[in-house]
Amino acid sequence: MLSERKKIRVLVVDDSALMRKLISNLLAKDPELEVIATAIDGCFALTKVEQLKPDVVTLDVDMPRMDGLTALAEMVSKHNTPVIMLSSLTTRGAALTMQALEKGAVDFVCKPSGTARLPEMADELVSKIKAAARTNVLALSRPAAPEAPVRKKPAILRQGRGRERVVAIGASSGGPHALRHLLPRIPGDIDAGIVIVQHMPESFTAMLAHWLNEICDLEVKEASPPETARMARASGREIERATRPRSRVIWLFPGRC
Amino acid sequence: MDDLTRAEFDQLLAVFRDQSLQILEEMGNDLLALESGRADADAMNRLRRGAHTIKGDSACIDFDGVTKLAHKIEDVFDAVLCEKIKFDRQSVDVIFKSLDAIRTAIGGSEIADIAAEQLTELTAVLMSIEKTGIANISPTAADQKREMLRQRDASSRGEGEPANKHRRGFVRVESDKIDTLLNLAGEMVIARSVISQIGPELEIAFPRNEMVERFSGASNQMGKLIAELQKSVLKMRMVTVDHIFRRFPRPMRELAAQSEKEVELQISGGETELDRALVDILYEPILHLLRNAVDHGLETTEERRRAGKPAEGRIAMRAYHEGNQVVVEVSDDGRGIDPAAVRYKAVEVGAITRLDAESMTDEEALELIFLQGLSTAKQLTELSGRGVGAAAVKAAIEQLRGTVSVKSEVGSGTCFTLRMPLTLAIIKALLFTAAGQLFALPLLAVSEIARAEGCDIVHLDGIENYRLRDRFISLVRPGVVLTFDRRKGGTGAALRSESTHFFVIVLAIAGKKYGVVADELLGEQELVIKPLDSSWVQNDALAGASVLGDGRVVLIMDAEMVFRKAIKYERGKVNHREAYAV
Repeated sequence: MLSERKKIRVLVVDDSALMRKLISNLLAKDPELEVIATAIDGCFALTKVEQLKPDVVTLDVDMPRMDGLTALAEMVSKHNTPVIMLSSLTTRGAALTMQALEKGAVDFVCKPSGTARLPEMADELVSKIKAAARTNVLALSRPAAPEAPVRKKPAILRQGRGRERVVAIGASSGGPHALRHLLPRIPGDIDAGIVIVQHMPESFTAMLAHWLNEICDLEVKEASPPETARMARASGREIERATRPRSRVIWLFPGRC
Repeated sequence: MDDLTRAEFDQLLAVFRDQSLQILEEMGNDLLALESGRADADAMNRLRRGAHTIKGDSACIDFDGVTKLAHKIEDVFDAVLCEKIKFDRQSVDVIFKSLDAIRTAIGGSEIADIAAEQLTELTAVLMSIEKTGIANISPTAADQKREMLRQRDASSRGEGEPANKHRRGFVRVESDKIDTLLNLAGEMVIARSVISQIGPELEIAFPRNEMVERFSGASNQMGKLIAELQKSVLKMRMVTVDHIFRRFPRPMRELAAQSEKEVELQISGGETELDRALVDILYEPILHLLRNAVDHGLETTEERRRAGKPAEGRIAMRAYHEGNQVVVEVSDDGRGIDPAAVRYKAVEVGAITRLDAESMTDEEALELIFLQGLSTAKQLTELSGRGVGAAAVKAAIEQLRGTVSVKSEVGSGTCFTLRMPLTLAIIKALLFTAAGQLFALPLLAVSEIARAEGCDIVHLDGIENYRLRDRFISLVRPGVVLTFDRRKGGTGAALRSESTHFFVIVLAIAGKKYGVVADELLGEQELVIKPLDSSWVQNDALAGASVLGDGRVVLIMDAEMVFRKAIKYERGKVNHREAYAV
């Protein structure tokens, strides 16, 4: 009984019937999740959010009548509902996804590209929904207010003689929001190279870099492949792992490298 | 997390196919609108989104070819939206071809991916469009005067809101579920009528009993609610004619281009509602009529100019309700059908005698084009500009318990009128008994009822005939219908009633009359048709059966089939005039 009540109630929003069915099917396989309704566009989604008060919404971006971004803004501001964006793996999809994160979406998942990818996508979506259900949405949509840069002596993991210093940041789910919170607080004159490894599809990293770049003193750049390779050799296992297939890297460089 | 089960995957496939076919159709319409400068501001966005959805969906279920092609199409629309390229007639053609390729691949009996060869070819062309944006004809109104085809869909565009926007807001339900609901509502009507018959009996058994009064009141109220329920469910089966009409501009565009004629297609009455079951069946016959109108009905541009007509031929499709029927008209302002030519041809192929031909009115002569033998006669097509498939059209419409008629005037055009019942699920019927069995005939087919005696029957040509004013009409004994069961071999004597006084129910089918002999008339009633289980009864002379309030079963006769089969049966031998009365 208790476990019944604790199920995370999900609203699935997508204009494609196939996606609605597929996502509902995938989520139904997790005992902790319950798909309480689906909606075919932003307008219907808002009505259902109001009526049913779902714990989490999965939201498509590209829909008729009212698109995902418009609906998202209202879901966040009016109903404090955590939203996971379902994005398509394109440049346009990436740009829209970044906008969605800006507007308060908790996270995003890329639409599956083939049945072989389904289990992977399903796992990712389920874990992100579970995380989102515990998220304070209002905190996310707050603009990243640049507080005074923090200056504490950092813990140094390893220091070799005559070598350059490197800060390595690894992130996965929730990474974009965490980075958006963290990076503006790093002073522009920091005496170290910074490397970020964000778990994210390749087409999205450029957009993320661009997005982060807007809010930082430091320049944020997507690493091009040769740099990836070189840095991988220089910075140890953490990054080496990041350069394996499917893990993607964003590098941050100080003004001059 | 488990992988998809086979069943789940099949379900997804079905959803994908349905949804994609619908999107393709909407995209086709938007493309046409765009090409003719009628598109609303959002058309290009809808097109891009349509391609986008198909791309995403097909990727999901491993239709890589479709994904690639849809992706390229989306890119082209993206480029147009970003004003990188302009959209011209050639681009429209390529996109149409690409949409067709997807439709053919996924819409066949077996859903499949696009063939690699075709994919390579189409993507190459799409890429070149996206990169270079071939020509410069902008999709604005100015250049469109020479447009081959224009569609003025006054009805649905009148409100300035495209039809598909409305539909998006609807719940999609499998039609089977609605039919189940309708069936249940029908059963409730029957169950309720049993209750309503108990009411008066109770009142007699317990006069002035307060409980009985309450019972009757509740029974009446329930009757009203059930009728209301039945009506609502029937409405769920209804869709607008627009569902059929909007499929035509596209083939018309091609037909016009092929025949090198200038055609304007006018559509009106798209909001008229009709039974969903009719939609798919009506498409082919109407397409047939349109094709004939373009091919044969309309003159060449040169001929039209000489005849003092506007160069652009006009073909109009119109739908409206008339009584309990849906009427669809397909008309053209072409050369018309010459009744003399039809008469001549009919005599030549031996369908009628010279005498018949001479006694026929022009209207009757025109109806000859629906005869099977004539419809394929080549010369007739050339002479009258009509005929190919007219018989097929007639057969299809009559299967829907509808009728087809034609009006034509030489030099000014032809109009085909299709009449179908509003719904196929309920029938207004005349109930009667014959040979001790309860029968019903569709009221629509009944033109009059006459009282008769045994001596009114005349035997002509081996058939019982009845003298109706100045003509003789063939008579059918309903009992004979029961002998048509195919499983039983269709032999056996017709049951004949012995009474000397009886009724002749005069039926008019496509302008021809015949009579059905009835012993007793029981009045008219709306019946919910239940199909007869084919493992028990295989009899195409019966449209179905229904159960009355008192539990009696009534057999519903198919007016057209009864006539054909009965005459054939009575004559015993094949007679080429079998489908022909009076």
